[in-house]
Amino acid sequence: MYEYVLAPEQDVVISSRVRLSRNYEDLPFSPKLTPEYAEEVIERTVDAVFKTENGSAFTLLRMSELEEDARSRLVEHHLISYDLLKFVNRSAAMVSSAGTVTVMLNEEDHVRFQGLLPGLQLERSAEMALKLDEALEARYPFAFDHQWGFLTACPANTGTGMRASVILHLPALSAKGQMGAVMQTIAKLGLTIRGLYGEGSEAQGHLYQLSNQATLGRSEEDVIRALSAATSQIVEHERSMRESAEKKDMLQLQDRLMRSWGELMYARLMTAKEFMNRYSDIRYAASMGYLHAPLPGLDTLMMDVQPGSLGVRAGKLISPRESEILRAKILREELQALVAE
Amino acid sequence: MMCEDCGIRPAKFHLMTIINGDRVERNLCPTCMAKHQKQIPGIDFSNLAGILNSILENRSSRENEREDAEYEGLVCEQCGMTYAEFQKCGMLGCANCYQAFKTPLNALLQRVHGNTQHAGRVPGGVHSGTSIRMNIDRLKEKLQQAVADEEYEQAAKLRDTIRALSIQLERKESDIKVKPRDRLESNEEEGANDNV
Repeated sequence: MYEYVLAPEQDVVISSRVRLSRNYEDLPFSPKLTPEYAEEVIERTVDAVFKTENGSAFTLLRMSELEEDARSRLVEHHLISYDLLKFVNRSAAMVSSAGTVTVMLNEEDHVRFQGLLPGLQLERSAEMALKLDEALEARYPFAFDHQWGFLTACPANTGTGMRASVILHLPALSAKGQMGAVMQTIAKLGLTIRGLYGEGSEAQGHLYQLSNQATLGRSEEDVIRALSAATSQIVEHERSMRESAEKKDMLQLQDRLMRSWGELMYARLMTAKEFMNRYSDIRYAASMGYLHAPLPGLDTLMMDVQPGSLGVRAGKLISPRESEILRAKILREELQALVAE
Repeated sequence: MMCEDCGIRPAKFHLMTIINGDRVERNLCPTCMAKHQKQIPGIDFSNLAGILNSILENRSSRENEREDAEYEGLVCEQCGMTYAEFQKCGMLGCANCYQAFKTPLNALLQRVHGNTQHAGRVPGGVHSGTSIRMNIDRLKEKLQQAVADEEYEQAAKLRDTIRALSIQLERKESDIKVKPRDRLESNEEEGANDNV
């Protein structure tokens, strides 16, 4: 018997993340940050984080010391931002053993705290990030202004310095062509929604990221509350679309979704893009109970077969074809194991 | 409403694209709109976007340009960054830049966030209830000053902010009353949920 706990709203919400941007008040910001100052940022933060209650759970990873695949793997697992890799020479990350808390160093801002949890758990994610923020500011003061709040390198983040976001899986809304309407409503609420994977406006795997836009003029609690409320509404909307698709023709829905299971079970070559579409189908099927696979397991597997993570797993540089072969093989084996348990 | 691409400029266009049968809509500013249009093969909208842009922003852009020219020469004494440099890279050089470029930044922050007054937590205030209260106190002082100076428009803005903050504070305090039990419950599932 495979036991697992479903996080709140995990049938639609894959994960919740809160990031806080901070800068040490006496050090120059990103554009003027010399290697010496960048090192000072790392030293201070490492010192302060290690001295916190759970400090020993963190590992320091300097981006310059990691292979390219290992860096990509961190991005694919949402432990660091893609932007951290724009500053590979100076940037670093402290990652907690559970992977739920990360401190990014020398990205666009000196320090970015991140709380990450499965499902819709924005409040707890925020609490985790704020707790670290409070512990650190007691040792080294962060740049702060009473009118403008926490000062960030880019004025678009100043104020709370907080970006809260959720990753949503919206196959039924997408199938019904409702995403346009959702996006319009979202924009009116001061929130933004965009495709998580894929270039431009294409949303691979029907995965979308919903986040707050403004950081100045609203409290952290207010933003979290508004984002949670909007997420809950989208969740309800998506669920009712799934139900109505089932009501309309359950056999056809099952047939369409389970064919993707068949492909994943027998394919010998699998591109990342094709996989995202198949993954969307089997996740949808699992949420409807057509397929007895645990959602948390599917989501972890999804991240594990992204290009960088595959490379780390292979332990060497692999060609695109080799990665398609390896992806197909891992999926066959691990999906089989997931449903067997 | 801000541009969904850059988040810096106000959105003026609603772009709808259909890719693999999925309809995707985005609200964009003229600059990002032009970038997007260039990616659509066969049609070059960049000119059209430019024309529309100049119509839409006609008056304000001329004013903006004049203002920008006025501020370009500003220099931050601490890090040496100029306002022109900031406009190019979009990032400030140090905490003091916020003071050095105060006037143009105020206008920029108003455009980006629709607000120029921080309402969140302040350092040292562990519970944000404290920070909201501190903000209210400070704003009340400002309000008195504004009334004394007969700046009624400013006073009205401050009054509205104070009102909004007071409502937040009330809500916050009523939240705290129910919180401990919630926390107990959520702590129990902690271990199980930490694996993703």
